[in-house]
Amino acid sequence: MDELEICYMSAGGLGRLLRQGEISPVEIVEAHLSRIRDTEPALNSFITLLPEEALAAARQAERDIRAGRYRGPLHGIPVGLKDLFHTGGIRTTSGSRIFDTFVPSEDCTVAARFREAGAILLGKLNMHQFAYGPTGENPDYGHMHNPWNPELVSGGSSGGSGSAAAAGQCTITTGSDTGGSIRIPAALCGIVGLKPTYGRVSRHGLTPLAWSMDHPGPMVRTVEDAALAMNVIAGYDPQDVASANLPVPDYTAALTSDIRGLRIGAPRQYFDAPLDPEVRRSVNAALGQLEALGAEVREVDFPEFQDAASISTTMLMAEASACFRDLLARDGASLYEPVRLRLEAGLFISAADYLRAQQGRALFDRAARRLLDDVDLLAGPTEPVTAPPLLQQQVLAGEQEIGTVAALTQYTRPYNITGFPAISVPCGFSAEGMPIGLQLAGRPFDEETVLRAAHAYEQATEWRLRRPPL
Amino acid sequence: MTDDAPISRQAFDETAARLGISGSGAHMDELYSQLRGVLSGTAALSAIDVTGIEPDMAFIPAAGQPPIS
Repeated sequence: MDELEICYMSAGGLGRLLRQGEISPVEIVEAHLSRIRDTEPALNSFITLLPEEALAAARQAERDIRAGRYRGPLHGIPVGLKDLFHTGGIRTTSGSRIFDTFVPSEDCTVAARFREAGAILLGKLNMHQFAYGPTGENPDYGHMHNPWNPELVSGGSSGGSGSAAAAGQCTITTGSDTGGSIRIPAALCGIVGLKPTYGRVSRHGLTPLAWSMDHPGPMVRTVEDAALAMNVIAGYDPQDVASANLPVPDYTAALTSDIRGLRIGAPRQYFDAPLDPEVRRSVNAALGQLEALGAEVREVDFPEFQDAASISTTMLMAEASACFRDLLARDGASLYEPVRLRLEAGLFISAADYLRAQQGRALFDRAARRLLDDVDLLAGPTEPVTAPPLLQQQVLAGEQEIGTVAALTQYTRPYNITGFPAISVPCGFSAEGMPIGLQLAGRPFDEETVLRAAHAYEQATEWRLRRPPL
Repeated sequence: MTDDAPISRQAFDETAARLGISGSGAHMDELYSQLRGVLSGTAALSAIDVTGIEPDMAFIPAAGQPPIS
């Protein structure tokens, strides 16, 4: 099989071939290492690449599979982890030279579960420094670049994960999402990104940004691969105080493609907000497609959406500054200036304002839950714009020029406040060839309905078949 | 303190010193500029009627299902 075809196969597709002995893990890893060599100069997706370790793991996987010790659908599948997922014996920088030589003694829970499933770690992926920004800027290890146009951002903070999955450098990648950091790069790079329910995937061993809003999750090219990854990484972990002690379903069983009768609400306020006309058209067309598949799509009223930015920003800034306060005092001058400024500004937020934001959060959560009494999912754009140029401070969204950070987090923040599961799935391209994402959010711990709808939409369209021109 | 200037420069300088924040003049000017934007956003919280609402101190979405025994 052609190397490029291997790199663009899904985990589901590769897993079926691996199980039947029609392809070897070594062949898969070699193809990906070759792809990384070819594309990395343009993308800068990786902070640490592990070619020797990956090949050794692939040879072991090959021996195990041949000997009948097949571990499951991710055995022999190449993964990349955002570089804030701690990996035992492998450096974990969190995107900062301050931690350039930090080597954790043990795996985070997500890394351990991938390892147990037989997945092969190709390397650690580039990220916005300390995950504190939505654009994929990193002066310490180089900015990340969008595979569809390297002059544009990959999105952040999990920018390396977005570019690596979109460019076929990895089959499965991971991100963490505090204000949108899985869904933003997923939408801007044209892949699938799932932010699971808060508590569904363990945060143990991840460098935190804001404890009450950090969500780890998969970033992949197909909805089936998101389900396969969730089957491995979801589930209770006593080492994470927020981990939910709930049964984990087989997420692939939800991928029936049948969404007849599913009730989908499209909040009117999402479409009244600053929104690029091309994005609006693509998302409206996607809603029409969902309706054609049998879903009942209706407009819903979500006035509390206007409070999302102030609630989320206050909580995120206060928690991040508390989290990094000692680091700031010790190494502030070594931080990326915009990250340093955000951390310092957060120190000025009073406890009373933080608690006011938590009161607002409780109200916001109630309002969002009420909406989900009447519909099964909430739908809208993931991003109001397509990927902007690197380091551009303002974007034009429709007729309004707004700050890039505010724009990129406009639609993602609400579900960090509520903790609801939310997915971004490709739903079109701009005239300039840049991807557009549809966001679907569901009830707490109902990832199955989110995945089912996203999969039905994905299978009914051909957006997933496009590849970046690299 | 007014809506246009949620924190005066003098109050900013004093608080920054108390918080142990220091830097070049340009850095402190930029921080002051950004902070005014941040505090304006925080001030928007006052428009939310939170009467009788207790803050979520440990946020975990309830699924309404019993824990695994």
